[in-house]
Amino acid sequence: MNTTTDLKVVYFPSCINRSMGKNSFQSADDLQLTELTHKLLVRAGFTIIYPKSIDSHCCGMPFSSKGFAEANHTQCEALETALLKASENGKYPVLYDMSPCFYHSKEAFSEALKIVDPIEFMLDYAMPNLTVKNKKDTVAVFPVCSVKKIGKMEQLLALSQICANNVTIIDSNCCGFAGDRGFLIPELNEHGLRDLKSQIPANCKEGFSTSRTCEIGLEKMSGIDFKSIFYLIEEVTR
Amino acid sequence: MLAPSYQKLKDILSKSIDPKRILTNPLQTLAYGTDASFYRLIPKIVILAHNETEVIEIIKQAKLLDIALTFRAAGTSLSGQAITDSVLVVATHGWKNFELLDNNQKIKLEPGIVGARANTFLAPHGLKIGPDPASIGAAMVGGIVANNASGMCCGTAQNSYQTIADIRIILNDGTILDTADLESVASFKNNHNGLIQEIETLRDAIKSDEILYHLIKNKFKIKNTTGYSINAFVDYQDPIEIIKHLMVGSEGTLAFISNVTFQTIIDEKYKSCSLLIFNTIQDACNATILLKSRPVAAVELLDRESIRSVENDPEAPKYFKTLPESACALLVECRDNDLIVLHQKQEQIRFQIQSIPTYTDYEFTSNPKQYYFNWKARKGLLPTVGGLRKNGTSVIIEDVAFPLSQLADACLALKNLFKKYEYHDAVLFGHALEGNLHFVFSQDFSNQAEIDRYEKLMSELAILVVDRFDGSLKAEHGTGRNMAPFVEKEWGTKAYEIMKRIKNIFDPHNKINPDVLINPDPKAHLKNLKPMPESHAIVDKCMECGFCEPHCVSEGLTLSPRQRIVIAREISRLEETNENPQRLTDIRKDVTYQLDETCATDGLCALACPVYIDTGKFVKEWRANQINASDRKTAAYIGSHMAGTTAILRIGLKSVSFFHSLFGTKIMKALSNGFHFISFGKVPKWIPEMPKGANKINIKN
Ligand SMILES: Cc1cc2nc3c(=O)[nH]c(=O)nc-3n(C[C@H](O)[C@H](O)[C@H](O)COP(=O)(O)OP(=O)(O)OC[C@H]3O[C@@H](n4cnc5c(N)ncnc54)[C@H](O)[C@@H]3O)c2cc1C
Ligand code: SF4
Repeated sequence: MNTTTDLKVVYFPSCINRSMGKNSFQSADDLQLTELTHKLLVRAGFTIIYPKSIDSHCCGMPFSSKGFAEANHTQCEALETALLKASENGKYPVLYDMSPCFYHSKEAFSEALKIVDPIEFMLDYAMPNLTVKNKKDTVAVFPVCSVKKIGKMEQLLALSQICANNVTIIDSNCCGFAGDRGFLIPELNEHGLRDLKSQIPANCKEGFSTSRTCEIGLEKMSGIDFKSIFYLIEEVTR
Repeated sequence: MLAPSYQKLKDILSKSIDPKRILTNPLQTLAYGTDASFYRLIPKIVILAHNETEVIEIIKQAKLLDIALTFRAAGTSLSGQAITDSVLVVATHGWKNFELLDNNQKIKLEPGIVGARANTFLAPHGLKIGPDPASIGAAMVGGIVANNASGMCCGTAQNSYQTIADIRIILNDGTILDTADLESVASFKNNHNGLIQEIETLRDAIKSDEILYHLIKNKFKIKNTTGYSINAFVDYQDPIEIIKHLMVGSEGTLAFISNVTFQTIIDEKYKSCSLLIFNTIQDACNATILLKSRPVAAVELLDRESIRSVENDPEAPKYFKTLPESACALLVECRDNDLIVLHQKQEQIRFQIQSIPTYTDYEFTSNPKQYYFNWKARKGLLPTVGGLRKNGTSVIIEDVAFPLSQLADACLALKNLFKKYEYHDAVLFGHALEGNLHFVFSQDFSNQAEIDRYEKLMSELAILVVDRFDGSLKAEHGTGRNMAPFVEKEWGTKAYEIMKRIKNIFDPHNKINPDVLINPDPKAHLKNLKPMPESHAIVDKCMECGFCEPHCVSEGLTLSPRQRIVIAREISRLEETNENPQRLTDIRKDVTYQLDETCATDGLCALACPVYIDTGKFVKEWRANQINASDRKTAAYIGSHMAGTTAILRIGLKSVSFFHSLFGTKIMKALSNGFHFISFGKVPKWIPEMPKGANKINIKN
């Protein structure tokens, strides 16, 4: 077992999670994701390092997907510099709390940084230091596009199965929410998730994924609570 | 402007089919009209049919107006059989129902189910469907059956023809025949007595003609999809059985298939394979002959050029690079549910071919990494040629088969032929066990000299395959427009006359997928060639195979990645040639919504693409080109003021949720829709699921 001082992690809360708070299913005393992640990391024995002037950073993807290549580039570089500094040039892993942001940075960053996606981090770094005390019965899990692209479907299933007895992996392409596209072109999300409801077992009231905006779309199309898988882990290891 | 009869069809059908699914605008007709072949016809109307009732109505009304129909599943056809300049009826959305029957021994599938999807229904039971084309991840049941598509393991024993249990079809007069339903069969026999009698007459004529009978028997010993499956008349006596099997490989020219029941096949648990390198192609072919009687699941041949294309893979054995020019590889696969039997099979194979020396020792492997590499080498051949070809050229896959005893000579003859016409990038590989060889090469169709070269190649290929080796010109991919001019050459006049009569029995007015399979024009294969203009570096290598389509979220709402590329290409072509400014304007009118705004840019398409094209990346670049300088400034501003932006979002979201609690959902929705509208879609629509604003992070390092 590592001693606490060994367990340092740079936590980069994505701009989406920094601005969007709780969803409509969450009650007043629930924590918002950034706070919950903090608590979970502390429980797993990590010392958290936040990048300096965190509020000015973003992975750049929202710009890239809108076609703003230059703005994307500027954001990317600035974030890499900040993360290098915070992680003491790659000495500590960097946790991303959204798969798409992780994927976007992975494509752009140099090797020196050890950035880690939410699934790998929880499965390989956090879970060994946590104890599952009250496994959930039934949950739905949605692998977002980036999870499919980095080939982490099996790990996502494994992680979910540590936390719940019955796991339904939602079988669909991209949810079509695509950042803010779900707000602007809602029919894309509706089309993409037209088979969602029928896949969710009747007794399943909670769904989890690793992308905040996708979760809004999933919530809208399923009518059940969809949030970060960090919530699931936090709850069962409480 | 639609011609009057087409306009009339559209008007009439709009009463019973959602007009949103009856497409006539130039962007959509082009997008849906494209398949994986190198032919191009643009339909006047595309109908996205959702059920049988609609198809019956379409068939009936089109018949009254004397309008031709072509049916479409996934559009991965390679021979020009899924295109039309009349009306295209697309049966891919909807058509997804399935049913396991008889204790999983059978599976009933609608035509819009992707082959691989059918297998996921069966996988939990250790079963699969018989047909296994390499395109199984995109091709759909309707197209798989209509083309009698096959692949590496199914051979001639487990293809659609052999494993079909029942079929439900809609004939050209709107009648349904369901072979699984006794009542339907009885009433069909009653009402279509003439048709039944004609089938029986043909059957008796064939069975009493010894030469013809044996010709048919022989030609179907190897894979053959040239012309109709007239082996149905030889193999079956009952006219309903004959009709059922005639539908397999009919390429949508006889009737609409509305569901198919397959016998299921055991999907063995344990698999192992080995890549055997022989000194010569002759040795490899001789080994294949010896393996034919052994328990092998697949024997795939890869020529020297094929191996070269994987030499640089980090996992490739070092000796690949030093192989002699004459070398040839066989990928041999065996499978079993019992591990001990699997090992016995491997030993039997080794024993069987011990008389033929191999270039190096070989081992069978089930190690996922090595196993995967071996198959990757085989499956990577298309991307290699596809990715290396010159922009503006098409990828052509020839698909011939030879009697196994002739395979070695035929391979060499084929190689010489391709050398003679200077197709230097040609790669030869294929399902050796079935005598089935594919040649992949690139072909320019942009000038007459190149078209002439192709014409010469094809006519000499026909002589080589038919006259010299008694083979089939199309083994798996269907006749289409590509081989229609050669059906008579391959089959002889008598059999060809029978095929023409079959077409006439089911479609006397030649209105169901005309010019496909039976085509009197000897140059049909050189007409309606698809232009492949350069458009953008990211997408220029696209082969329009359609493999990306099942992975795209906007497919069916607006466009698939393939369709986006098709549209981008057409815009480039029209800009370049200035051929039809009106058409360019019309296509441009819808392009922002169809191509750009409804693309999620998630890049999942690239996972399935044989040449690794990420159409999402292309769309991002497209967006970048549309953005004007002032928008770019805004982005830069937002970027450099990220802290402020997230704060605005935070506070913005908070106030929205405050208003929500004040006004309630209904009013908020109405309000936000108004905003969304007046800001031309730039202000996000408010939805009840919109989260509340977040609390600022309190950093305590
Ligand atoms: C890269 C690549 C690799 C390929 N590999 C193989 C292979 O290994 N083996 C092989 O055999 N083929 C292969 N193909 C060819 C092709 O994928 C198959 O022929 C496939 O079965 C076509 O299915 P589809 O759903 O795309 O049908 P489509 O192309 O849409 O249609 C095929 C034919 O079926 C008819 N049709 C479709 N639906 C119906 C219906 N409901 N009723 C009546 N008629 C209908 C159409 O009119 C058309 O004539 C390959 C293609 C590509 C692009
Ligand atoms: S983008 Fe790739 S998968 Fe899609 S049609 Fe083109 S080549 Fe095929």
